[in-house]
Amino acid sequence: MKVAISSTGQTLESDIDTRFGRCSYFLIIEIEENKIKEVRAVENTAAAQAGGAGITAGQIIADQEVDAVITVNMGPRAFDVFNQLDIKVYQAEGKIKDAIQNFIDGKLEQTNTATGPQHMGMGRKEQ
Amino acid sequence: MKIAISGGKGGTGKSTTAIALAVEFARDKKTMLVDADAECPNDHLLLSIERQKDSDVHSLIPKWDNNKCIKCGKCASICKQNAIVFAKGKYPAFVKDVCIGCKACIVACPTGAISESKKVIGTIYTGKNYNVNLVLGELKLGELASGEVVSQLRTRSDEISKELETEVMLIDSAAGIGCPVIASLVGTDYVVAVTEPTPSAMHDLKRVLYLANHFGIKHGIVINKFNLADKFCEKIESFAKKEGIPIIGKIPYHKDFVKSTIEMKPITEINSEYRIIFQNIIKKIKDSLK
Repeated sequence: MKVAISSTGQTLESDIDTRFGRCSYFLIIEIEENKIKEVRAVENTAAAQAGGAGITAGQIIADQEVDAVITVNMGPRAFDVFNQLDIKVYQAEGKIKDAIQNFIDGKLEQTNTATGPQHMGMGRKEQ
Repeated sequence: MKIAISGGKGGTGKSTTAIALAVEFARDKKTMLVDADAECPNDHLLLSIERQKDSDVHSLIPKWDNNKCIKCGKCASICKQNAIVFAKGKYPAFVKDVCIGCKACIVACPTGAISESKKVIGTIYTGKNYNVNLVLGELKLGELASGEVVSQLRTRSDEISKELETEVMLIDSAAGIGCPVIASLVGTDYVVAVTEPTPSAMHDLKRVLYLANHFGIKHGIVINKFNLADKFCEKIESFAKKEGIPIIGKIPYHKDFVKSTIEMKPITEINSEYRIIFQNIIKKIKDSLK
């Protein structure tokens, strides 16, 4: 299965970016038999978009044909997109490698509503 | 007779002027005032009107028939608003509130799987006071297409105007020169450009006059609060003279304008001296439309 994580950097050592639509990178992680098989970083070209970054980021992720997304805060529009595409959204914070391990172990909670308001990531720097 | 009140910069006195003109027109003509500042309409407040809902304003949105959709993603790639997200092997995801109803997806769909549906993007209200029939449009929060709301407000205003047999229609536009302002100006006989003696107001005034000129609509300038900066007022007057644009009114500032806003009454009801000033503006508009 394939998972996308909003990331501050390009490796598993990076932190999860707290903003979904305006994160720096998406790490696309392929998991096979409960192990990380491949890690790829995709730049989030929607990060500096004036509006609708969450939706564009949603398209970037949809193009990667992932099954799930892990992030901290996701706005209502992006959440709506993943809901319609049947891509599951999970919430986690901290190091990416820890979050992925928790995901593999089934310890991450699936979110059923948007976890942040619209435009929350707009104009904000990484925290 | 359709008269648009515009001016470019916010706070120059467009609504104050529109209301005073409407009240003065209404003394001997059946008058309608259209509040076309759909993002922040205030004319009902300034006229102490408790507005009543007339109708909803709709925008077109696409609707997918999943039996016909072949999951090709063409609708998503053509959408300039990024309102459609496509993932291989799945039906397209649609984000309603960013859609502006352009129909490109409907045209792009090779199997005719997309049909027209609609969403509410605004509301039209009506009310009456001081013999002025007010019609106003209000954009639904979160929606983008205020120009479309104004455009449909204009259509509805024409219908109501016909029913009420009004003779004069004043259209109070929003600030700026964008879609909602253009939608306020089109099809009018005269544009009253309300300005004030400040560099920013003069800059924006020129842009609105350019618009009026572009659409071939007769226009004149009202300098509001002219006595607050006499020198700069002269600058606007010499610009108008050079361009051959008539100054149809100069309104002196008075603290009664504050009272007018707070008490929600037209300035002409607070201070009757202003009645003459606005009657003179009306006369100049009428003369130039003869």
